[in-house]
Amino acid sequence: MVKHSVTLPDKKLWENFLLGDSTSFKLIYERSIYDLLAYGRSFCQDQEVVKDSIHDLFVELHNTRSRLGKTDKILPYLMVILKRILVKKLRKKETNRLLDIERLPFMLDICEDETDSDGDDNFVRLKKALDELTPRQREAIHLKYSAGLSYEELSKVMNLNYQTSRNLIFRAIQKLRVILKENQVVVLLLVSLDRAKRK
Amino acid sequence: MENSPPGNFQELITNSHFIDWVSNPTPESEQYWQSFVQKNPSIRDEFEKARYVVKTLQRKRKAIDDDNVREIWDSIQSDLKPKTDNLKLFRWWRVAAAIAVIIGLAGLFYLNFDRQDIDYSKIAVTGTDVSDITLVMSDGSRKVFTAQQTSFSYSQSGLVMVDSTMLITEPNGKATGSHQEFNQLIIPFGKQSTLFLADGTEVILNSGSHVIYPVTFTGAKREIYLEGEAYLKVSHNAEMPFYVNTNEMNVRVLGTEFDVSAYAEENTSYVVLVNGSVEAQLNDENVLLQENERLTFRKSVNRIEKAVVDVREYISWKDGWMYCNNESIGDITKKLSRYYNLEFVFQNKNAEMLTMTGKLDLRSDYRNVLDVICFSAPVKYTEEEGRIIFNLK
Repeated sequence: MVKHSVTLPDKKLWENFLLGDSTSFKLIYERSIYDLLAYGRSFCQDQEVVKDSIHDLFVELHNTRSRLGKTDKILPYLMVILKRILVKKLRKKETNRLLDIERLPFMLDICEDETDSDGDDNFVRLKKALDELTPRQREAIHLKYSAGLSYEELSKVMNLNYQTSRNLIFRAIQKLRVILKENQVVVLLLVSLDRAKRK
Repeated sequence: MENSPPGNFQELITNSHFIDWVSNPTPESEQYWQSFVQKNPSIRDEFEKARYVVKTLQRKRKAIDDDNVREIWDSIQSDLKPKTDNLKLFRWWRVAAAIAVIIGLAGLFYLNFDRQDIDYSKIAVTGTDVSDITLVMSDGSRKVFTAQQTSFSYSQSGLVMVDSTMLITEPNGKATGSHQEFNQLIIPFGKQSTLFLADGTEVILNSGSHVIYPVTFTGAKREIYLEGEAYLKVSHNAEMPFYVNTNEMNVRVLGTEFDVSAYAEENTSYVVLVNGSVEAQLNDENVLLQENERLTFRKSVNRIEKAVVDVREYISWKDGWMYCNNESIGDITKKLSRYYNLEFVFQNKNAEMLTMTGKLDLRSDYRNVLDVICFSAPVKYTEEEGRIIFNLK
């Protein structure tokens, strides 16, 4: 897909889209699609369901644009809709009929930097640490760091108030720190063993 | 939290500058954080850890999704309703622009006069007290544009191009016989617009204006109705003279540049001719205007006056300037109130009477403009509940 040098602010892009501009529609798709795929996949392992939901999201967006309101941040806006569509689809599956949005699983799928061979230990530790968070903490971490949302945007997507979303991140980070700290002992130990071997 | 430098893992990892640096390092941020670690060697460990965590969390699997991205887009496209052909429109836009330029250079003019025979009071919509630029189509439907400035271009086939990006189809676009369909554009205070009519005539509309015009011109003449202020560059067509009708006077042209100001709340209406020649008709009296001349109609005394003026004072608004030549602060603020949609109050009438000469840059924030006024004249202002209160210093 063509990569755009993007300078148009979200607000203007969204306005143009609401006015019926098809280029803006495509640009919105290109700017948000990778983040939407990542976000959707975190809720649902079934890739086809995620792709279907994103398809529905954009078709709905296009067909209802005359009734949509303004926004100056498009990605969180789309995330809210995607989450709604996804939950609806998941609920349709029999076992999830009573799926509670609060109890929705959230997988934080981080990927390794292949060029960084020293990162292996760190990576395993971080992955483990993230596994110990609650699903909502993982979701908050994903929105804040991977999707790059502000606390305000994050609180809208997760339907929390501002302070709650800050606390959520804070507690998640606190937990990460403790877990990483515990592991630090192991690291130091490994390093010293290594040194001993070299001697 | 972000005011004092971060001191531990938690503070680092939630610090927005730190996050920005990890995702998008700039030479400045690079230098800042490098020296930050050097100055705080005790937290080096936490620092590296925080950086690693942020970096890893930010990393995205772009490459593996490329096929999905294409696949989803294709499926969306196949489910959308067919769209208008953009390419065709862009071509048409280029032609229209070329005509306008040629006309600007040609300068061929006539003078003549005819009676206004369209009853605009029947066509004019009510509800012109809008806060956004509003286009009223021939079927009465409204399109609202939130930008400060919007441009509209009409094609011969009744398509409207907005800001060279978006297309609207006028429901009764195709002209049938001599019957004309009208569109209306309402520009609220604080906004401006450029309108290219179907004949290539350029109309720059100032704040607080309402213009009525046919979607395409048919018949023996081209006519529009204006309330407010507009700068016109009329495209030349000797077969179809161009008329601007206002409540008090009708202006007839064949290819020329001029400014018409006819605000309902102002005591005077005027036409200023920049280029070419026009004829104005008021009270069954025809007055011929030369370049750099202004024709003023004073409603209260029902009288007309003609004078040679510095046209820049009258047309500079279209380029975002306001030339004042010995103009009273009262008059200046009246124009500013339209341009910025502000309300002015004078606590001291003498402040209103003071005059100024110079150039104001209207593209800047209104506070800058008011500061310039207060710098050049012995006045000061305060803002209270959205109103600007002027007083003597």
